[in-house]
Amino acid sequence: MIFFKHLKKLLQEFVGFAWENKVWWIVPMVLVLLLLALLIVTTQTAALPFIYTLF
Amino acid sequence: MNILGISAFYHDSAAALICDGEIIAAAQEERFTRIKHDHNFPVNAVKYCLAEGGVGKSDLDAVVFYDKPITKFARIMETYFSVAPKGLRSFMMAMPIWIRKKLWIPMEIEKSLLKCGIDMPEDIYFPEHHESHAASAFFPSPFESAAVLTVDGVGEWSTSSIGHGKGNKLEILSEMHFPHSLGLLYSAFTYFTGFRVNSGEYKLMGLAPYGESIYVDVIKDNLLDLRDDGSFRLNMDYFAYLDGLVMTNDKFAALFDGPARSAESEITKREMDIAKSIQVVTEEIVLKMARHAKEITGEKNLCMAGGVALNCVANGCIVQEKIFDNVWIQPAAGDAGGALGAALLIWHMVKDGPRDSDGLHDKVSGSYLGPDFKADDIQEYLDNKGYAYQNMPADSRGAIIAKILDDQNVVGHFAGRMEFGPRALGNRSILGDARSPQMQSIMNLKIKYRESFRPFAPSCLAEKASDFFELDAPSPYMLLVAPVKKSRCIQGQSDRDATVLKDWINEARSDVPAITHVDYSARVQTVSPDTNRPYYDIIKAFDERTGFGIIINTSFNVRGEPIVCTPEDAYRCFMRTEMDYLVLGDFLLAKTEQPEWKEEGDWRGEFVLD
Repeated sequence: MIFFKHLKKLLQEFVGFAWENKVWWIVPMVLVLLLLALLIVTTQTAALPFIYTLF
Repeated sequence: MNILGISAFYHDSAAALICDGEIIAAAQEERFTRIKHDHNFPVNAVKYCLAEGGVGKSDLDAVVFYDKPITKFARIMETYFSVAPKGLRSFMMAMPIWIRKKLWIPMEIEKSLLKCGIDMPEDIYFPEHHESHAASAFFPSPFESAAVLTVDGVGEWSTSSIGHGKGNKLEILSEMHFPHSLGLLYSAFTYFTGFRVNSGEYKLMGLAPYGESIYVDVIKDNLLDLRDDGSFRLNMDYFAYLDGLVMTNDKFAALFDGPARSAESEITKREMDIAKSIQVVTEEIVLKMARHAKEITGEKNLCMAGGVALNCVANGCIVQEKIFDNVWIQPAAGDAGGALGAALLIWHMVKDGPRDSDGLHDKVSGSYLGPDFKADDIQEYLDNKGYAYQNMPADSRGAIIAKILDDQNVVGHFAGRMEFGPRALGNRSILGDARSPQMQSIMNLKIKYRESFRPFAPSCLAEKASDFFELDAPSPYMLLVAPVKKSRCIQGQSDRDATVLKDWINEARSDVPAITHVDYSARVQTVSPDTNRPYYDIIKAFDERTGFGIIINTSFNVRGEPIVCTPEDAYRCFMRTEMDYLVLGDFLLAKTEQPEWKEEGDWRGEFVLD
């Protein structure tokens, strides 16, 4: 339940962010990423090097 | 009103609790998990802060995270789009942690609070990264009003900011944006000289006095376009951090006569000269920023935070240039301090909480904001383990420890509340005699197990600071570097023609050689009785014995290890190293009286070298 509550909030935040900053490209991007993420998360376990853009 | 501040998922995760505007507790997660610069969600630090404040199930009124993850995520996405198709590998590595953790911060907070038995409050806030830094600098400062300068690697977009604080309000007036960043520029050189980014910057700063500034023009002519207000644009042709997994590229290497130094290899004159050159450029930029902050605010006070504010050599320049009458630097200037700043920001700016200031005293209690251990608990621990100890009477504690130091012993000193921030300020410190010519080498190689070129810092009686240093400002948080008094220096040393570091290390350059760096400077902590009476009493007693109100103070840890938190951590570190005595509160332990220390394997493998 906690997960779905926060998923809803997260999507609302993204839409709010896109509306406020007029960056609508981020909405489809996030949806695609969430799908892509499933793939990556399940395949990627390497330790991260320290690079600022990663953070 | 109880407000919990949190910083996490970048480096140095931390938590801080304020109650009705008073700072109750703050601690970094690394101290509990024993993982240096731990970036994971600070469950242990949150738990400690809530316990310290006695926060009950429904008593938490607000939670504040120190930056805006969604905005930061958008910045990262935009950056990848701007360099695509390059950077795919970096992108593939970055996404999992964002998808798994960083986008779910409210859920992490709720889960963490549930583990502590605390209800999630309705109010959850996400101020901007540099707002949090600025708040950590201004709100606990002694000043009614001040200019505020924050400089670090990067937050959301901002990499440095100038603000103006007055009363309980703080306004950001100007910002510099990613990828143009002084913190990233310094980190690029940290990487190039073979040290670890976001961890080895202080080594680069310590190396600088050995070098000559021969690359200053190379840096200024090729890498950045610096303006009079301290803002600049980096020439990204030389940097790889937008699309690669390293900080600099081949073009950068060509500018500096060869490839980046590999970690742990010998440090040559080139690295020393590079370190000196980037330090000179950093000081010039910071001074320009400070002057600009003075111009646009008209203030006589300056507050600073952000990782670059830990560059105590640059800070010393600001003080010596007398751009401002008074300078106050947040002791937890890095991201850990963002947790504290974020909580204070909400208290003052959102809840309109009042703020008072007397122009003299700050609100961070000497930065002693971490866990304390009662005498009964320490004694129970020692008895259970069968460790030999003596109980020191409170009125002669200082004199006993001072005698031990005078006898050329190295003492691990564990007392009172743990420090918040990267510096050990006496409560989790290793102490030694600053007069000893051999002490720097002994403590580096036999206690800290680290490179011997790095100088130790002194703790000095506040009222005696001007006897030892050209310093007319207090430096309670060891964030200012000052020249050692000329009358104490032994001139004619520091042969600039020498190129081997170890040849320089053991030269006595003053009558306090263990803390005098190769350029006759020292990173000073001034100690006063109102912030740390027991620690002050040790130095005072040492002064009465020897005429020197000054001792060596280095953090209580070995290389790569977080500073000790508990008596158990302290005892372990004591037994693993060649420390002679351990002080745990009022208990004194001699190494010669301890049972044999047995450990399986090489414990040095536990810590990642920084």
